[in-house]
Amino acid sequence: MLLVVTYSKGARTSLRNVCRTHEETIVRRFGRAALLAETEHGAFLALRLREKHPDDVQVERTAPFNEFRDVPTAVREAAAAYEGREDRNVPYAKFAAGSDHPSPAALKRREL
Amino acid sequence: MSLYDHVAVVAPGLSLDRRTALAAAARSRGATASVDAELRAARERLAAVGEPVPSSATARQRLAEAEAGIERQRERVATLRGRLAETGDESLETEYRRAVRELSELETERAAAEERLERARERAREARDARERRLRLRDRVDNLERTARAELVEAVRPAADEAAASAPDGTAASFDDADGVTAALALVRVGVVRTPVVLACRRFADAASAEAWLESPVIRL
Repeated sequence: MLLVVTYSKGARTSLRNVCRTHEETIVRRFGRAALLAETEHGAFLALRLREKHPDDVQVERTAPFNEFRDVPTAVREAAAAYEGREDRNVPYAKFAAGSDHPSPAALKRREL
Repeated sequence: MSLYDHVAVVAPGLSLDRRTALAAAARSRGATASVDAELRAARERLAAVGEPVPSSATARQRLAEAEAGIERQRERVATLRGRLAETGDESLETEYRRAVRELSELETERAAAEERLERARERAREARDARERRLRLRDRVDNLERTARAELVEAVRPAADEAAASAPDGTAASFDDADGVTAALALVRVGVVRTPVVLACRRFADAASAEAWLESPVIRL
């Protein structure tokens, strides 16, 4: 999908108007940002916004996230184990130390 | 906008932003709002921030072009390799080698373009952080302005209602019900206007009675 983020009042108003007029292409709207369908119409609307407010509109393309395909098992298991921990007050770094779970530093270092 | 800007010319058909004008009338009387200091500080901070986002459009375009070029060159290399294997023509060999070299040059170019784009994206991210802070500040200023306006309007409303109800030839019971001319006259009476207001309405017999009621200098047309 196309993620459109606005950074000024004017751009935010334009985005709001676009969302109101083109519901079929708007997947979701959040305040000053919106997800547009990945169609030529979505791109057309995003580009129009950027044309109108060059500095205040950011357009990014999102990709579907499938943790079973995109994320190593160790990371999924670490997330599940940490959320299932008994002591709610233990920070993840401490939780991971002395276990097989990856450290926060390792998680930050490795790209998906 | 000062009160004078709202009521400089009082003529039939006059259109007023009533809340803003009421707030201006209150200000002209020296009224203040509880958020004035905060508002001033927020406005100052707002004026201080904000830098343009460097566009990464050129970097994006270069990368797209480099990728398209590589695609074309790969096809060319494959074609030449096929013909070379088929015919064993040595004259093709030189061409093939050159094509392979050009492909590797294009790949270097693409790597450079990717790096440039990444740097541009990082600069844009920082600039956008600044823009985001600016937008939040803008919203804050707007909110404070709304609060200030509401307070000022309430402070001056009783006087404005009374003036509107007692305006010559006025038929309204309150400021909000009054026609444009009556509302403007009420604002002039209630507020402090030092520059003469131009009166192009037939509400007063002469300039002297107008000035007496409005408590302000006028130019009567």
